[in-house]
Amino acid sequence: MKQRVPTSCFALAMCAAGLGVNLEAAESPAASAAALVSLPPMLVEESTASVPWLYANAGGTEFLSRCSAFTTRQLAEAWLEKLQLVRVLVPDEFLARMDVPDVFVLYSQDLEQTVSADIQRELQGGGERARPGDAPRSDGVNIAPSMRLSDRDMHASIAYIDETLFDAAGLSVSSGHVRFLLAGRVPELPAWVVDGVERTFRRADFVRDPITLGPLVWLNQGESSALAGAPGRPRALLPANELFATDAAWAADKPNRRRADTKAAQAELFFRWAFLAGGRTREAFWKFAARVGEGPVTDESFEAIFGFDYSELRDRLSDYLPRAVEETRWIDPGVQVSAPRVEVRRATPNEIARVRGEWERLAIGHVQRRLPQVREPYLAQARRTLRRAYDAGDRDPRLLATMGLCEIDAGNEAGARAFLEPAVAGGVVRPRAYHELARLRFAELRQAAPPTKLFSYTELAPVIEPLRQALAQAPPLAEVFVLLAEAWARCEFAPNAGELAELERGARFFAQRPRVALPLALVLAQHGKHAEAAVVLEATAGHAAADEATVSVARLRAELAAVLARVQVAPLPTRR
Amino acid sequence: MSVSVAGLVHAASFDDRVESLFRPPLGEMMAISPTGRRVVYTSRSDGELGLVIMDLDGQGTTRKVSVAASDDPVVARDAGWFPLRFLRWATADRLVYAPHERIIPLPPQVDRQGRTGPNPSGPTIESPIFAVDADGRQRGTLVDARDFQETPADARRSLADFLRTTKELVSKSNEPVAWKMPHLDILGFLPRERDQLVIRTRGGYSMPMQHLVDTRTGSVREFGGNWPAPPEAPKIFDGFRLKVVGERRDGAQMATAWTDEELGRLQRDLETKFPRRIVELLDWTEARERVLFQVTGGSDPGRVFVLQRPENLALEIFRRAPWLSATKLNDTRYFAFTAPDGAGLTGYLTWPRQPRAPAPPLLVVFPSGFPGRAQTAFDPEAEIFADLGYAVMRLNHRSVGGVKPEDLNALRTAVDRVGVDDARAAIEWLAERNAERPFDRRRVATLGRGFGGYLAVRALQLQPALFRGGVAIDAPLDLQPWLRPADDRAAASTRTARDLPAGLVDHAGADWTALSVVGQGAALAQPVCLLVEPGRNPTIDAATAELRSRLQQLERAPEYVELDAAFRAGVPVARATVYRRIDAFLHLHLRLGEGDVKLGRASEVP
Repeated sequence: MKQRVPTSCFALAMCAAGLGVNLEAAESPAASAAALVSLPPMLVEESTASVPWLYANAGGTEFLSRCSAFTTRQLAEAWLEKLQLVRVLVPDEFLARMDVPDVFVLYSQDLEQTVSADIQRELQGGGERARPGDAPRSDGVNIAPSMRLSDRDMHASIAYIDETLFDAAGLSVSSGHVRFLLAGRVPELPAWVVDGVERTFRRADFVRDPITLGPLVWLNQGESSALAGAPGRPRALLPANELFATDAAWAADKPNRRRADTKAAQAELFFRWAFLAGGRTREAFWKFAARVGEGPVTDESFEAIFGFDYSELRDRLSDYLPRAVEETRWIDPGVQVSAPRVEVRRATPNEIARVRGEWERLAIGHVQRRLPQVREPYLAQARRTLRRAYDAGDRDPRLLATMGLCEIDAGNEAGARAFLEPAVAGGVVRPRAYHELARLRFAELRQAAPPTKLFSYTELAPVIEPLRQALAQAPPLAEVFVLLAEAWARCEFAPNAGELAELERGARFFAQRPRVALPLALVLAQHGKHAEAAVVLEATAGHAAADEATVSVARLRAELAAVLARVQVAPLPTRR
Repeated sequence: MSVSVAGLVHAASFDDRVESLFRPPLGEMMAISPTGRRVVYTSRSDGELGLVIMDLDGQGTTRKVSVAASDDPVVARDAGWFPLRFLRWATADRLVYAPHERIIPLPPQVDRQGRTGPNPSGPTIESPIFAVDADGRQRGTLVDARDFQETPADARRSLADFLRTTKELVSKSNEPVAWKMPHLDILGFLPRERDQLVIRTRGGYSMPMQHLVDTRTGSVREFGGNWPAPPEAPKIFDGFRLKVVGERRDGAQMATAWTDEELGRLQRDLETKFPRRIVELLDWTEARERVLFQVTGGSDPGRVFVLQRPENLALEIFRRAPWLSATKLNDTRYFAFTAPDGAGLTGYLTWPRQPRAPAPPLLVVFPSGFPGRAQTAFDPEAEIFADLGYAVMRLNHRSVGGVKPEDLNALRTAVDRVGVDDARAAIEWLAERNAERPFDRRRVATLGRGFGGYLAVRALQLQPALFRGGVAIDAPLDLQPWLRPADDRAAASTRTARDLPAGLVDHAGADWTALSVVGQGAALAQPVCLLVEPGRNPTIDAATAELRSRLQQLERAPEYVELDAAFRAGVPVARATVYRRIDAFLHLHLRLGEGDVKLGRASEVP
């Protein structure tokens, strides 16, 4: 029986937009932790449905819709308007920038399109068909009506809309999407910024007035009410040096639920306080956030930006807390530029194949992680969708890039190259495509040579050049820098000044990821840039062991130092 | 007289501000219960001392208990100004506290011939020890000095006498019977029977003796043990482990030298959590899983926390002055630097939230004694002057942590020049290191009390080009008679008022004339405001009169303000009136509000 969870127009719109609480984010830890496995909806073949696909491209998003033109336009325009409101709270420079357009697939409940027959068979052995929103099956699998999936260089949403109830005014951008935008920013933002802003968004209503910030919830509702009633009530706030500690430092700490809860709540309190204070304090918050993203911070560097020290910050937040748990604040968004009218038209076969194929490609990885036994039907569906346009003669580099990535995700690296080569040659905007092609080429080069062989630049150019092209596109990918470092490490020439600056940029962008910074530091050291390598290590040392609980920060630094000492050899000649 | 308070503050609100800044902060004393479930701290309002018992594990609820040191409301109020002499938890639920001991001499005795003589009895000692349950119930006096009232051994001559209490004996005897009350020293609790309080009586007719007092019933029994008296401050005693665990050290900022390794480690951890603040561990639970500590050094009078060690969370339990809005306080920062001669100089700079001008005038406040105590991080007076738009620099003497041998010669030769030169060095350093906060170098004034007031005026004489006006409160303008008072009354008041090791100045080679403000009166060209409470110290009164006379002859009559006892007692209106006078004086003579003006000629004193 079909489950109609969203019953109000507002809730449905949230869901339809793929941006609300009902939207299943593939990255969501909650989703992964749950026993229930949610699969992405798999739309049936066009031949079985008479409703045409519509297409719109606006504000960096490609919309592919089987809803009415009216609904599609309304949703697209509302989406763009709400994104503007996000930027009231978060300056554009702190949100992920992606040159690859987002993908938004809309479908309506009127259509009998849910899950392909293959998947049905795989899941149920020919039993009753599952539909989006159906109650969870006894085997713990259901089909999520709406979902957001992401790759390293783009993201896509699918949304199920009940057009009879749809109201674009009730749309809101979910906090999860804001988290995605913040987490994708390069240089990477520290966790406390992402947490603080995202939690504030949970408290924000983007429909009323149009931004209303509800009272902060400190730890839990009971504690918040008690604080509101008794401002002098004892409260534990973390010292600033602990609030701003790296994830690695937190991981090394003895796990404590109350401390973790306090950290999350305080990150929100800090952002809220700084944002609502406005003016210089708000500017200082973002300046500090940017500063933290590039390396370790201290009491002194904080003071240089805010004008007061860590201890004072703790005091100010503590004093603000009783007010924060009580106040509702209306935020003036200032003058907002009206979103341009979105033109909706019938989608071309290329657009249908490319956009829908992109969504289906993303679904492969999700299914692979959650329910590998049904991966094949999803893979087959994606290939079918993409191939339809290709077989019809479509050689759009975007289509080719998606097809190449689809094969990579399917584990068919040999087959991928046939699509990636022409896509890259065609100048596609798709950083990951460049990376995958460079990776395949480098693997091939290394395979045919002894492990210690240094290559000429001519040999390495087919690897390095696509990587450099990838770096000219947004977002800069960590793996591009890593591969670049590995390639330069095998080059008989040292990189020139511009190329070294590129490597250093990677280290700055991903200082919070020792696995990225380490090869960059090594290649810098290898080519005689010891001081620069030391700076990279210094910046990343505090983040070491973030993903390796068994390795202490001190040990890693010692290892890094030892490695650096070993590579102190005469520098290679620089490439002109 | 016209009053200018930065042109912004109304009189009434200024009075309120003065009152709130000088209001005694909460938590002059505090203690955590052995299990860490509760904290008690003192609270003072309108002279009445109270205890606030806070439940940490519940809803953070508080209960207030009044500390009445006496049944007499007047006595109780007066006693309320003194700190408690004891405040500790006996058990998780039972609190013991003792107000300041009060000694009331008996009137002289008049014999049958009408001759007066000393009273052989007394004095009356009020030294009650109270106990109360955490819920505020079962409150009462456990013991008092009168419970141990004694007569001389020979006063009891018959069996009946021995069966009488001292009080009965005194009242029933046909002959006058002398009596004494002992002092009660509180030594602590028995470790495994913490409801048993160990006290010691001394000063009666008997030898000092130890007793156990049951904190539940107040029953007293003799204690055969020789319980060691806990060492006094600055030593820190752990009442659970019965050992000295550290020692407070005076210096530019309070510090603790811990001999207990665990507490030392905790101190370092907490200092990491509160950088650039002074962290003072005050008390801890039996297992040390909760530690009560205070953090000062910011712009407010401080905050009190309980470190919950299992969770590694510092629970802020109260602000010491919650009535002061932190956002309305002026920014105060500690500074430390090395003077040109290598001496370490320290102090605090309080920066006005609303400066009078982009570069506000600077008020240099000298410490009131020598070497004196370190300036406190929070100073109400500095706040007031900062409210009035002045940047306020409070300098510690270079010898605040103890006179160093290398400074001794210079101090013995010219204690005034050392202090003034240090102030000058501090001004130069601040001007150089705080470029983002420039003060008006042409509008620097001095202020001080007692010996600090002396330095405030000497600075005008020694560095007239730098210091353009000064304010001295009860300042000894002539050191020799101040240090060697001619009459007993002056000697008594000098002893209580001065904080200057006489030997440092009063020696064979001392050049009293060179050290005297009065003696160097002709060199006092800059305007000065002398504030004196007449009659408190004849030597100060005399020197002030002499200086006024000399300056009048030179047609440079100083401003003179008579202080009254209300100012000394801290009556807010009296204080506010004086601060207005000082502000008006500085406003006039520093020509504040007149922008870039040329201030009178000045020349250096050789």
